[in-house]
Amino acid sequence: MRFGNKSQLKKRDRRTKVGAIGFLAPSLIGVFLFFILPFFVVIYYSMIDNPVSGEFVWFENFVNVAKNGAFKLAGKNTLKFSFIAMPLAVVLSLLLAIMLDKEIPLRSHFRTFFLTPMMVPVASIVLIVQVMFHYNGAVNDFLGAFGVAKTDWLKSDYAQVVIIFLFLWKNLGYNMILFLAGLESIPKELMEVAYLENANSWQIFWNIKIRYLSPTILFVTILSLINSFKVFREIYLLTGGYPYDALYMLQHFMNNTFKSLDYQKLSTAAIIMSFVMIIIIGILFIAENKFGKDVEE
Amino acid sequence: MKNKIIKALSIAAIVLLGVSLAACGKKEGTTDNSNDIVYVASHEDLDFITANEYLEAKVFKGDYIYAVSAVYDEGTGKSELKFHKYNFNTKEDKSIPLEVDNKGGMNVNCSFLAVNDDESFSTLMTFYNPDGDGNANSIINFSKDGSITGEKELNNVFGNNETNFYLNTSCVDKEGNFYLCCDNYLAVLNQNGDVLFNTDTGNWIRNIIAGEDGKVYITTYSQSGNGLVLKPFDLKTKSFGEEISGIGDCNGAILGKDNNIYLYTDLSAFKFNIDKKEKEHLWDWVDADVYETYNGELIANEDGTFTYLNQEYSEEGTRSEIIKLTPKKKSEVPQKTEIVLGCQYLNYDIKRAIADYNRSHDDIKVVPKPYNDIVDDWEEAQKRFDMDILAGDVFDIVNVDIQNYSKYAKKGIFEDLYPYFESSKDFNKDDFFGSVLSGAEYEGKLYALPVAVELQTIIGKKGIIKKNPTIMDYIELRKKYPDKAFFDGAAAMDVLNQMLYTSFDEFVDVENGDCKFDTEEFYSLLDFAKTFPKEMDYENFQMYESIKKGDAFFANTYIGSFSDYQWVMDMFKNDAEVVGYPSNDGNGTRMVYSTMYGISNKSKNKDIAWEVISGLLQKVGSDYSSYEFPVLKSKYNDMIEKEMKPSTYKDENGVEHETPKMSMSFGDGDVYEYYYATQETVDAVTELLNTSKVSAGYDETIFGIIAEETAPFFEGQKTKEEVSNIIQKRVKIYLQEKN
Repeated sequence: MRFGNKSQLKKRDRRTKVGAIGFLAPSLIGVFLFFILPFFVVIYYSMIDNPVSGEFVWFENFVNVAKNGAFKLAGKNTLKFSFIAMPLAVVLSLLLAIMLDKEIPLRSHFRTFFLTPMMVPVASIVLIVQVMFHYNGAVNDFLGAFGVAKTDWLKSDYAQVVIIFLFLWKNLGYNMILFLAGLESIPKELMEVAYLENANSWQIFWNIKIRYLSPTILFVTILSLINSFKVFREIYLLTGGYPYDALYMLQHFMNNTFKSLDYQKLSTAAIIMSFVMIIIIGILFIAENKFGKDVEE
Repeated sequence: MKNKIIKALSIAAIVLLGVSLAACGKKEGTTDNSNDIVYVASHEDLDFITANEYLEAKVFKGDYIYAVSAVYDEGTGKSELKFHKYNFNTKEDKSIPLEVDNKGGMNVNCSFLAVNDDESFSTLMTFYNPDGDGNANSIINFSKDGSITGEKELNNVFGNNETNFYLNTSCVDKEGNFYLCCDNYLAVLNQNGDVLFNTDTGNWIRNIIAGEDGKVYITTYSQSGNGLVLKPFDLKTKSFGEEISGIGDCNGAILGKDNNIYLYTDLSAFKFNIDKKEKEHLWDWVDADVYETYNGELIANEDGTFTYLNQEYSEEGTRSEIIKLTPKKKSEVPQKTEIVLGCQYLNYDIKRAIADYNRSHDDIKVVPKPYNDIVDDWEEAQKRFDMDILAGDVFDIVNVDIQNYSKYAKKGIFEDLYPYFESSKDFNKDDFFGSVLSGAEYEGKLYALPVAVELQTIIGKKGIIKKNPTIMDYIELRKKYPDKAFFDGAAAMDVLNQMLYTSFDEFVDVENGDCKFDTEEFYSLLDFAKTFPKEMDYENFQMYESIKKGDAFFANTYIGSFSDYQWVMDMFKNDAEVVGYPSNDGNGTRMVYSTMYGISNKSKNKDIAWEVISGLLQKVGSDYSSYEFPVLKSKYNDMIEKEMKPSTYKDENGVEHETPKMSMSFGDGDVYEYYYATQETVDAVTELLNTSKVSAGYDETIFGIIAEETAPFFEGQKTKEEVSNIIQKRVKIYLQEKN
């Protein structure tokens, strides 16, 4: 119950609002300064010829970047990697989670085991991969025992296979934990009822588990997509700024254009990439919304 | 009540947040007093020191400078020692020769001087054998009139069985004990030369300093990775105290009063308080027109001023001066127009040129900002330099190298310098070598101007190969002589780089973002390079012997002076010619710019910046550098005149003798002595300067990729097709990115 006449109430309301704005202001200013404003600066940079003269060329940079051979290669490799690694990461981690959700011996040890790759520093991972997949590395030595000729794995068309393997090794554990948590949250009564109604394992899995896991699947998919871009770090440490063409990603393009002070190309590429990301994530949200609608209701 | 408490807590939280934000950005460590106090320099030349005299050891004491100098005699090739006593106030110098027994023809050098209250003095003399063996060190004591009162040869003074040592730093404590440092070794001697203490400190000792209060400190590199640190030393306990960090880098240091230490680098001077661990910036050496401090000596005076003994060494001889630095309020000091010169590093010649320019202008001051000296990490320095160049309003003049020139030029950062030529009183386009200007153009404009150049080419035995050969000519010749050294000690990778250096355009099309490394020509080049050793055995390979025997036909030559050309020709007994790197345009000699200067188009002092660049052009090249050719024809002609004249000295009978300007041992007793440039040399070099092209061919990224990928080929692990394929793909990405 609020006491006082109308004008007093209005004054109090106004004061409350002003107070609220005052407290929110530092956060809002921070978000504006460090997120929103830089975004507009990037858009500005993508539409000028160079930062010194600042002459507007509108979409000319976008046309140039879209025609650029290196950008096209980087985009193709990034999409290819993401669309192979991402589904594999989701499916394999889901399978692992389902397996570890059952009462199997050493279950908690396996869970810990799959999480350990996350704790290994990047430099150590890079060193291990180099030792294993180098031209004179362990993998070639092993294959050589079977008469297979040496392959320079990171400088061949198999390079992406190595990186996919590295990506999965690093990320499966965390995704598996997310799925385990998702599986725990499925109401047990539903599965008991389904079991009593003579539903088979596949029907329970597809109609109940997957439906209830759809938000988790969306989340894991988006996380895997983001992590698939972060694999640039390992590729850069392994192969430098200009790797074999199969490993040349969008981040290489952006990193190198930054180093050569070509901020226009960098900004344009970043905006193109963000549009593609928005589209992909938008599709994923629509799919989840449709597929998991009845679960949320 | 509850609401009031919440309100009060909220206000307190906001105030706390505000205070902590206000503290953000506060720089740790160095405080800058430059807003209030500046140090004004006054100069006084020490005319009593002649041009061929160098102060080897010096001590400030009261109103006097005491110094031991070496006067170099060109005729005998030896130095004579003098002891000076110079009075600051009366400007009187008393000097006495020091008659030191040179132990049968050795050179003598004084590296340490200690003066007693009665003006007797002690020195550490090093006796150098011209052949390099059997050096010796002695403490020699002199009376006030210069007669020797005692001498003691030093043996194993540092406890490391080393008799052949040189001092990196030394000092005398309040008791008159000598502290001598060689690398990481410290020895403390009494005045008779008896060792009181010695030790290996474990890290190189940069400075050792003693104060009037009896304290002694060393500056050395920390064992725990804290950079340069201060460590107190106590002779009584013969031990070092705890490390004191925060002093930064320094060339020199002196101990002042109130636990203050004054430190200086080539750029600036600082005060560090040991108790508070606070560092305060005092002055920049550019304000005192000092461009390096390795040969100087600083003292802190009682009245808060400082006195610096500066020695500059150049080809004309030594210049010595006293600089007095007096603190004054900034508002009382007439302001000069500052021209900021941004660069990665400053070489010696440019530092000198800036110091000379500042000295000759009362109203303009060039302030250098070398990033490699300001920022420790090289990559970080390059990044910050790039960002500041792009910002546009940080520098007036920018010093760039040819590799990065086009990167900056296409950003529109620099002014076109051609209009400045038109309005210049000092020179116009025709006063430069044509190849210099055309090589520095970007899309028809001149965005930066080099001040000096060097040439790179291959000099080869006459008739062995046609002039200006192609890669295939070298390959065919190699097939005829597969077992010869061929080049002057080049390994496989060096040969590959040399061949690519000037025929880069054959393989790389920068304009279209394409390359041709997966071609037969590149395969042939790889096979050719593989015929050379993987690594050179430099211990056993003697270039001169190889050329003399006819085993090596070619010498990869850097020509920055006439002597460079002449001595290589002499190696071939003048039966050689400039053959050049392989090229398809008939021009195998490349011109390399060391530094280029551009004017920022956001500079508020463009005309003055141009004046500074013109001034640098007039100075650098002939006056300073003996390693590069000036780009101005007039300065080049001055260089010719100077180099074609032999150096001479008069003996005791007044007879003039020629003396070599440079000598070089080829091994096996053969010595080349360069007396003067011949007309033939001058003509050949001039022709090269007029015709050679600028090399932008050394792209670090592309050559890095080639070096990385060809290594397994030279090891025999991969085929040429495999490595070429990978190089092709990687380089193509790089070129397409830039396209």
